[in-house]
Amino acid sequence: MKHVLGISIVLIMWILFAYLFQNTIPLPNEVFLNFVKIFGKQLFTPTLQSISLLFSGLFFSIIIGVHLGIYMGLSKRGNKLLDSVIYSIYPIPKSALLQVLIIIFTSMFWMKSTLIFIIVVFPVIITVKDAIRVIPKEVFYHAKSLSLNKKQMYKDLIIPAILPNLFTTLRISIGNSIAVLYLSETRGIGSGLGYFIDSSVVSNNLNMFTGIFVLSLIGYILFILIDLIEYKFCKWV
Amino acid sequence: MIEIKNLSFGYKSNELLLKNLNLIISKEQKISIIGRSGCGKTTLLMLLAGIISDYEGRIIINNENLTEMRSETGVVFQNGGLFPWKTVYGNLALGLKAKKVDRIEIDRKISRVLKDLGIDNLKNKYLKELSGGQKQRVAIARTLVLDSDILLLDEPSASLDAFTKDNFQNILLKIYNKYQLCSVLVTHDIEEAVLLGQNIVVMKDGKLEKIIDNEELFGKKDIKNQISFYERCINLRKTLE
Ligand SMILES: Nc1ncnc2c1ncn2[C@@H]1O[C@H](COP(=O)(O)OP(=O)(O)O)[C@@H](O)[C@H]1O
Ligand SMILES: [Mg+2]
Repeated sequence: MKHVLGISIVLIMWILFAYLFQNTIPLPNEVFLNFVKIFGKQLFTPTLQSISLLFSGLFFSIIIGVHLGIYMGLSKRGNKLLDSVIYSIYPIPKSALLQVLIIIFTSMFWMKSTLIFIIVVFPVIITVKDAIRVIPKEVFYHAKSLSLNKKQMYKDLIIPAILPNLFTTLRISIGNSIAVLYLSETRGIGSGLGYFIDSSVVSNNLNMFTGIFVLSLIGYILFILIDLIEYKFCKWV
Repeated sequence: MIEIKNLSFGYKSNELLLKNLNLIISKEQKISIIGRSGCGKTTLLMLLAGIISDYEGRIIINNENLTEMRSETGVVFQNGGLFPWKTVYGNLALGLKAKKVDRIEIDRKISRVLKDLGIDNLKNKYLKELSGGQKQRVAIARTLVLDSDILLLDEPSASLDAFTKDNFQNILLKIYNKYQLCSVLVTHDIEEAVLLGQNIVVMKDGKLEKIIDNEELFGKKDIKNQISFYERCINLRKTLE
């Protein structure tokens, strides 16, 4: 229901702007038709490239971020060691690192994936760490009295405790990572939807908007995916 | 059975909070410990639970020195300490699963204990769906399913309103009757101490000052309608002042 409402509002605004800027912004139906027409052809490869880039960046930042966050949340020493490092690196404007990464990496894919990783991994680490910090100590006492093994500790205590906050962070991060995705795809040797959009600016206005549409669609689907997983695993919130 | 011998403890090395405590609580005895806020009641329970271990003196449980937390010592923490991401059933099953009890036995035990506490209808609810009194009952149930022989309760009714409190205390008395438990309840509530202790231990200035035999009142029906109950409460209040 909330999706129907949201989509309707977006469509109405889109149509409004399309009438306001008649020669620049195409109507939704034109974009949809063009999407159906070119998706199997020009759009297919860029979409695949963008999705794999996004997923690899998100995947590694979640895996590594969650592990580091748990380590920092559970161990005083781990926290001491990493906290100052993370807080001093965090404020560096990451997108400015793009130029540096272009020089370092020979593979364009991993260069771009690394940029997404750098953007997403810090919020994940901090979220996970803080989520563990606020678990009441009594919960740990009880776990200890039951002598839970490591696997049970993770399955029954640590993972469920971090999930709700992790999902929130991921939602925010997806917005950020799509922004960097676009940025990174237009630099170096361009690829993916970012390059598709950028290179259509002059030649084909309709294609450009179709590219933007697909990029938004990817973000939207990821949002819904997170909603579904959250619904399944965080019933208790 | 709990034996406390020359027990001393302080969070800061130069300042003792608990000073040379001595107390023996026999196998199925129910005692209440009363003291003002900040006198070290929670700390004492943490020591008996094996959560704090850098103390002086000895704590002996069932003739063995206490060295680590035992799953048979059930602790009802002041704020519950339940797992919010698990249902009532999940909270109760956790310890049994850790002990590799089989599924049928787990279900059987949980049903029985929930019924004894009058909350079998809450089995599949999450913590956020429970009231304060219900949460405390779940916390007790969580210890009972593990066949606990010792129950440590930290001001279990402190956050409950008067009616819920009455109800909770009656259920606790019923549990005392039905399960073979050695129970230590700490509280700052005078009525609760009189209601729920065969013996009432007065804690003051880091010492166990006085032990009052409360056998004649403990567990009696309708006790709150009797003068002798309030006489004891008044006397206890004087002792605490
Ligand atoms: N973890 C701790 N570290 C240092 N001091 C503590 C800690 N826990 C409690 N205290 C102090 O010890 C005293 C007794 O606390 P507590 O045992 O919680 O008292 P009570 O439960 O009787 O209210 C208080 O002055 C409290 O501030
Ligand atoms: Mg306390």
